[in-house]
Amino acid sequence: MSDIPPRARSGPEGWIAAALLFCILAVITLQIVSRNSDWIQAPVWTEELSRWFWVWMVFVGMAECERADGHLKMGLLPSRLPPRWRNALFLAIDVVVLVVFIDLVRIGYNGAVRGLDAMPVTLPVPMAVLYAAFPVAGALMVLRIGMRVVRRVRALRQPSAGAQP
Amino acid sequence: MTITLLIGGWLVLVLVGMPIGIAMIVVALGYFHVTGLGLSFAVRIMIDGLNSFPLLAVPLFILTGTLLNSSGISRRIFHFANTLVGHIRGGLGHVNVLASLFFSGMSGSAMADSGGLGKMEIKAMREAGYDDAFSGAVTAASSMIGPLVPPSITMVLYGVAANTSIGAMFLGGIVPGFLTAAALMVMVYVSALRRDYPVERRATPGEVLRAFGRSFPALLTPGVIIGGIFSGWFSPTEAAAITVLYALLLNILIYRELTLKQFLHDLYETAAASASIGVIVAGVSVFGYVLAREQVPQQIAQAFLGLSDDPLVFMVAASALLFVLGAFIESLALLLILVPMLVPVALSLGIDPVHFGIVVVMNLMISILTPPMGVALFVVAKVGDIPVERLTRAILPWLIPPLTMLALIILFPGLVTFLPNLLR
Repeated sequence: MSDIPPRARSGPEGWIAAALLFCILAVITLQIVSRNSDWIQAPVWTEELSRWFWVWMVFVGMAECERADGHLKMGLLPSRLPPRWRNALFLAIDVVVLVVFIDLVRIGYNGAVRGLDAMPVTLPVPMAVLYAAFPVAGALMVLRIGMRVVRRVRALRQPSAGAQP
Repeated sequence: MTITLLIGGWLVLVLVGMPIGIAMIVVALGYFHVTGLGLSFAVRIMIDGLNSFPLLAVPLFILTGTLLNSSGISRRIFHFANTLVGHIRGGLGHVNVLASLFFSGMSGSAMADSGGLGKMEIKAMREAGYDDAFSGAVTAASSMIGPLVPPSITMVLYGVAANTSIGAMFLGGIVPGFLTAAALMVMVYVSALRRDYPVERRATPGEVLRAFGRSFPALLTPGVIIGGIFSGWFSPTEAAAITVLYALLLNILIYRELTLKQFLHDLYETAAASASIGVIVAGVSVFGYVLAREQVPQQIAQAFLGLSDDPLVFMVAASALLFVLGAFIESLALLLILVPMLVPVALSLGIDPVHFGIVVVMNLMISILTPPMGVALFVVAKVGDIPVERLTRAILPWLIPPLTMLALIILFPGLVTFLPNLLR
């Protein structure tokens, strides 16, 4: 949600998400090969592990989308506003999302801690590993939005109203 | 009242520029706060909504499309299509449609078509003297074939949302996809006659064979997918992984244009694009829970059933709803919100879920062409450097062929159900 361009073309969150995508491909490949061959015993955990990678990929990628302005959105109205008003509108939206995600990180953390005692069907790690995806990615979101809020406030304070930082 | 607040609130947030998925999360959490529901439950719903194996086909099919675009396979497909139909009046327009049809058998995304193949198509048409608006309109219109012919990301999401066989959906889309391509080629021909576009030299049989040989391995992809799924070798999600591996193998062994750096970049691009869809899935999960708690699906069902209990009336009404909303709301978000509400009504009226699914997919693909929010228009305008306003006007007559096909598949369900029924 920004007029404010990201500082770098690619961010670490995006590369982590890319690595997770590669892991999904590798695990599903292992699942297919092992099921259709006699020389590898088909592991039972491949489907669950690939789903966990996907959940992590989406939430970490969500932070990358926030950083690189890659979320799917429409925004018919902002494009019709003067730059200063548009920047102020985006600042308001950023602040709302920031507050919501700070709350969600706290809630997600508590949920993950509760998952320490629950075990999944096939994987030998607690459900907390899956549930931790949300607070970790949420914290990254808070960081990225927070950085953008600072840049936006600076831009609004400049005499050339609404100028890009 | 609550429903109006929820949906109205979400629409306002989306219109002022909040990302679609995040806006759903914000509105749903507001509801959880007000009603005193546990917020940790909301987080759990989002994670559980994503924790689905069929959904993994989405990033893998996106990766296939990205790999095809970055490795020169699109160029070979375009060249092959050119040798086949380039000599018909309006040649490059036909090539544009046919190349999209071939490409759709490998990629499940209209955006991969319009963004990758489209750039090359518009450049070639511009150099051959075709009008920019015409070139852009054909490119945008032909990109809608992508999600109709398997593989299809839209069909995967429909299958998940409607709990319908994704394999059957893939088969059901084949005939409508081919018919839509044929209808678009008729439109190209009529437009070319009116604009007096030139006829190009017919390729010799040798040229056709050479072009076919270069693109043949890539053209086998849909056979690998459909054959693999229906022979029981792999599920649709596994088929998506196989398609990625197949595209990689083609690049390593035959085409040899993909570098490691490009592959890493493709992974990065795909992960980001998939995450933006995943956020909507997570948002719809929690927003959908709120709507279900407020009994919105039941109210929608009653409203539809109140109109008539004739399946045909329901199909037309559902299509009208999708057409109107699709002009303003992003197609995948619309699918994930509406399908769980509409499918129970369709089933209660005795409509085949695969038939209904293809009607929904067709509507959503028309919606990517309709202003003001037609995503394909924005992508084509960007890659073709064509003003959006010009493209918006030029696309209007190109809605006639897909709308005609939509009417045909509504009236004749056999066009959709014929192939899936063969294998049931």
